Parts: sequence; structure tokens; C-alpha cells
Amino acid sequence: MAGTLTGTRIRDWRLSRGLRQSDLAQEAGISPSYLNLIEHNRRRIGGRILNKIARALDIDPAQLSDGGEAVVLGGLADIAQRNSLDDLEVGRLEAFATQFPGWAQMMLDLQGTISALEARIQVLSDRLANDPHLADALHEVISAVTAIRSTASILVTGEEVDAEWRERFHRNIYQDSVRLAEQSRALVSFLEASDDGQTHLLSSLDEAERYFSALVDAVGVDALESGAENRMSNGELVQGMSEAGRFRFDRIMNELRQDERLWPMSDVAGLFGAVAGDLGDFVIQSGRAVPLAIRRFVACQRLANGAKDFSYFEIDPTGELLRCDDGLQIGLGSGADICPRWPVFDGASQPGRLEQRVVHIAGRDKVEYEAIGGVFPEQNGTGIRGYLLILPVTGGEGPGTTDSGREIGPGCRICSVQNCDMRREPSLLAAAAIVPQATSL
Amino acid sequence: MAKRVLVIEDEPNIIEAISFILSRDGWTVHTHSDGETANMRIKATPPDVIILDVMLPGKSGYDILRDLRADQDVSGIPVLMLTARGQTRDRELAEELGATKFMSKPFSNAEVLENVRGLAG
Repeated sequence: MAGTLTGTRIRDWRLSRGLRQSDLAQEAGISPSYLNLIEHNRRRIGGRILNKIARALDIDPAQLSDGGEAVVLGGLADIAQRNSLDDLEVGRLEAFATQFPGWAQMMLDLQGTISALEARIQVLSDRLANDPHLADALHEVISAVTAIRSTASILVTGEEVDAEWRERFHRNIYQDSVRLAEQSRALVSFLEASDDGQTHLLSSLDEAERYFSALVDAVGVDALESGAENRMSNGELVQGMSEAGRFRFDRIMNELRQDERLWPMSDVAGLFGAVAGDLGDFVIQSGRAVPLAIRRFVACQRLANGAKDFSYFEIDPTGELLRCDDGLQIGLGSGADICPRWPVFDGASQPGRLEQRVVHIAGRDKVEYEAIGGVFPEQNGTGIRGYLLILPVTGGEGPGTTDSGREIGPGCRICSVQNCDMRREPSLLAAAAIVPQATSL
Repeated sequence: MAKRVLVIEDEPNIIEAISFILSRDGWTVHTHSDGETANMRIKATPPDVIILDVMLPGKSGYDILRDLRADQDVSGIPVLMLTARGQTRDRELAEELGATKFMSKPFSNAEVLENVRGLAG
């Protein structure tokens, strides 16, 4: 899309110079009909012709094509997609951006505000779900409100209430109102004390992954590896990041740069294209250490297909996640929540072996995924690390479905897989039907 | 004979308010506050309807409901689930576990009455 508005700029500059199309065309060494196509944005130009036209107009080539238009159009296209605009409207984006640049920029600014607010809501929502202190405090507040509402309703409905009961209800309302006041104060204090930033409400890994993801989206994974992200390191994204989050992020970045030194992306890309997205072939043909090959494959995957077409996890020996780049929203969990049926654990008894399986997740309509993983020794000899890459299995028209792939649970507590010999605790979902499988002595 | 409702809830003032409005509506109301022993109480004197809170000491309302549905003697009792969390996931989990109705706190008295009457058939 870059360059598509360049024609409009050329036309504006030509008119401001008082030149006819034929004059400019002759000066630039191109035909008037070709210039006409360029000015109506029906031919994309760059390089030599752009420089000639700029010279003829006596301006810097950057003034005709500074890349800003691509950013604007890309942003507008994103807004159009989010709001499900039809193709006809999408086709008018360029005309809109050209004729109403101020409105276009305002739309981008508003979308930025919306995105920031959505992220904030997500953070608070995550916190509500995961912070036991906050959940308890809110439960107390809601319980007190419920008791007051229900009791007050009895007193105001107009129906006769015995004097003894009435007195009792008055006392209850007073007690609950005192409780509510105390709980509300405590809750506000708690939120104020912890609300001096945004991202540290998340786990340190979530913070690191979100920052990493935002940087990749902004500059691309190849630019990250070359250190181009430094220009954003003091930007808005990193504000409020906890020390632990920053530590994790730095660890991710250091490894990425180390991988780039060991096997530069410029050399990796060819092999990635040649194996057509097959990690097994990629590892074999690379001749490199498997962990390095996996990480480079993932970097290529992100570069080629964006963040939403795969999920990638790294796991330490205790089950703690080291990476959680979960574009498919698999929700692997952490520690004891991770289902031991993932292929990464098949290799735990045989470190160095890569397992590849078609899987589906219990309760998710049997959508197929290709899961590839294994456990490998760390390069510095300090232990082992598990790697798990999950890719969608796509047929001709969309995601495939399966009845035969291995069934993976979302975590024992809410897993519907029956007779699982790896079950750690009973599931809430299937009552007596789900029991630990008998083990022979 | 009046129909029996068992209110399993640990907030005394909520218990008192619900008990009052149901009693006035003609129900015989029993209450129980401990999650751990709730299933035994249900089995000992099965009510016609159960009002069940989620967050209880000893055992959660979800666990009580799961065990109730697995026990053939009492599995058919309609259950009105109360929770302070109205999130979709909680509602789905309650339904998956077999809750007959689901109500988020804070609720209105009219809502409680309407649902309990509906569950009693």
C-alpha cells in the first residue's frame, strides 16, 4: 500500500508550481499518459522515477513519499476491519485519507484511545479474575449490598411487617451499611495503592510478552534483533512495567539477539520458505542445535504470518512458563494447571527428542492443532527447557476438525476428558463420570 | 403441606431477608451455612428447592452442586445458584454443573420469589 497516495502529492505539487502534466512529464522523462496514471494513484512508483519527478518539481523526494501515508492507510484499514466495513467502503479509504487528512488522523487518534482503554479494561478484568484479595474484597462489598437491598425492599414494599421483625431489619441494615462503608474504604485504599501504573497489574511474564508483542507489531521481529527497538524503550509502553517484567523482557531480548548472532535471520529465511512451515524438516535441514532452530523458526513464523497464527511456549523444569506468546489463545496455564498430555512432556523422559502430534482441546469443538514440542538441554549446561509450538491445522476452507487427534485438557479442574491416567484432581464438569484411572501395582 | 426450600448461604443478614420473604410467601424455609456438610444436610432432609450460594466456607457451591447431581437420591432437586460474580464463565460453569437457575447478587426479592416459585413447578 505504500506509495499509493504519492500520485496525489505529485499532482498537488505540480499544480502549486503551475505546471501542466505534459511539462512535468517531459521534464521527468516519462510520457504524459503515464504521469496521468501516476497522479491518479493507478501506478505505484518509487526509486528512479520518483527521484526524477521530485527533481523536476525541485523538491526532496521524501516530500512525495515519506511513508506516513502507509501508516495512515494501514491504520484506517485496521479500523475498517474492526468495524466490518464492506469492500465498497474499504475501497474509498485512500480517497478519504487524501481529501480529509485531519479527519483521518482524528480517527486514528480515537482508535488509539479506544485500544488503550480496551487494554486497560483487560488488565482490570484479569485482575478481578486472578487477584484473590480483590475478589474477596469485592465479594464482601456485594454481599453487604445484597443484604441491604433485600432487607430494605422488605421494609418499603408497603406490606405489614411485625414490629419485632422491623426492628431487627433496621438493625441489620445499619450493621451492613457499616460493613459496606468499611469494605468500600478498604477497597479504594487497596486500588489507589496499587494503581500507580498499568502493566504491573499483570504477571511479570504477561507484562514482558505484551511489551514484546507490541514492539514486534511496531518494528518487526527483524528490527528487534538488530536493536531498533531502542527507540521505543523509553516510550509509553514501558512506563509502569515492573522490575520483574523488565527482567523477563530483557531475558527474551537477549536470547533473541544471541540467536540472531548465531544464525542471522537473513540466512534463516530461505530455509524457512523452503520447508513450507514444517518445523521438523526445518530442524533436520538446519543442522543447528534443536532449541536454536526452534526459536529461529518461531521468529520466522512471526515475521511471515503475524502474531495470531501460532502459540509458542517455553517451560522450565518446574512447569513455570518462560515464554507465553499465545496468539491462538490456547491458554496453556502454568505449573500444575498445564495439561501433561501436551507433546512437550512426551519428551521429558527422552530429552533431545522432538514430538509432533495433531491435538484438539477438550470442549473446543474438536478444532485441530499441530503441536510440536520437546525437552532439550540448555546450551550453557544449567538444566533443561521445554519447547512447545502450536499451529492451526488448516484444510482448504478453514481450520480442520478431528475425532482422532490427542485430546488435551484445559486444566484438570475444568477438564471433561474421561479416564485420564494423568488426572491430578477431580473435574468439576463431569461429576462421578471422571475418576482417576486405576493403576496396577 | 408447605413446600420446603433450603437456603445454603453464609451471610446471616441475607439468610434472614430471604427466609422472611419466602416464609411470607408460604414456604417452609431451612437454612444451612457450612459448605462442608451441605450435601449431608440435603440428603438427610431433601427439600423441594435449593438456593445455593457459590462462595461458602469449607466447600464451594460448585462442588456442592457437582456432588448433588452425582447422587441419584437427590440429583433431581432444582437448584437456584446465587453468586456475587455475574461473569459469563461463572454462569456457564453453573449451567454445565447442572444449576437449574442462576442469579447474580445483588438480586431483587421479587426475582428470588419468581424463580423459586418457578422451580417448584
